[in-house]
Amino acid sequence: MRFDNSNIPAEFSFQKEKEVARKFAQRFQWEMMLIGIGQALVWLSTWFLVINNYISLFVGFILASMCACLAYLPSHEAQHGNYSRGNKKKRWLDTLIGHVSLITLMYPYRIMQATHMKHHANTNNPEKDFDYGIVSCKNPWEVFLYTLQGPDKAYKEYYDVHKGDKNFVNRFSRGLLVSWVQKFVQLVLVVIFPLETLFLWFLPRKIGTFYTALNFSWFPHQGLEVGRYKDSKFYMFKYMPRYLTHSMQLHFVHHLHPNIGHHDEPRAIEELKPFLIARGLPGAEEIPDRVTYNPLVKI
Amino acid sequence: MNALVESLSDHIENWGMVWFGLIFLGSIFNEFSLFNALNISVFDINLFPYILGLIIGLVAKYRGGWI
Repeated sequence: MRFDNSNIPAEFSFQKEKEVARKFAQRFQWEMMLIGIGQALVWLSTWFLVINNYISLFVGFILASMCACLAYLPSHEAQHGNYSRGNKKKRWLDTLIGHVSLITLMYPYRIMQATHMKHHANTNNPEKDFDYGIVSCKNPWEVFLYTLQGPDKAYKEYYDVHKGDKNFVNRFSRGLLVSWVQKFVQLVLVVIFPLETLFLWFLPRKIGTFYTALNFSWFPHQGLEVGRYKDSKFYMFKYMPRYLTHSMQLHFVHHLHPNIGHHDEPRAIEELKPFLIARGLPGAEEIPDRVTYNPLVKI
Repeated sequence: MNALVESLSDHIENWGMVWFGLIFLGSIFNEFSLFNALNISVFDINLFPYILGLIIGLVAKYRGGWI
């Protein structure tokens, strides 16, 4: 076990914490599906609308960038199987949303899934965590430069670390083929529609990747150590409501209980707060009693 | 099949940046007349923007990164 249970009162035992968390890991996440499919359809529509001059390239760029910022989270839920929730007959939903939602960001679902599982198992471990390159950045500007460069080099190094895991290699290899197809499609599109490809795909993808890296990886994990209750923190921004950052101020609860649906996290945290304080989760003392519909702005 | 995938993988790993520079950056540069200052045309295609993209791709390959 990666965490210390001594000095934890019986009322805050891990078993009891799991029971509370389980209550919020049941609901069918229809709104997340809507966001995943919806943003992909809007993004595809921008191509049609821009190419046929219904909207300007600038408006298309803004829309595509917003779609790119919305693209990762629905796929992230799929990576954890949070649509099928263990039901084999519904597993196609995970696969569908996982793939479709990531088209905007041009990342292969299987690679994201494989690397994300390793991130959960090794959060903040410099040698094993695929996201450590982002977490180790000193400031958002470094995160920007890192995401501009792309993850290929870091992924290759971490791939070598995990290549003994057959399940990981299988997922990664399948994703690699999708990645080549995506890159090929982009290269064909750029020859036919150069500016559209630049402003509707390439740049929005970079913006979306930076937004995702900053909010999903850097802010929640930066400066923290390895271990359950230690690797993610609660935090608040000045003047920035959590709705603009995908509520990643609450990302810690996802690391503790990945099957809690994203939109159920605020209610789960309200009930889990005493457990989190007992465990000494970074920032737990600052969690307000009411998180639901609370923008979590620090004024 | 495995050998094909392997060789394709090696090629993309080694030359991906160069192809990206030539095709992606070349096509983008070609769209901006600013980069068409030097006219080296073959079959009515101005090669200058593509050569520029190729050079940037080669530099990135040998530097090991774009930035």
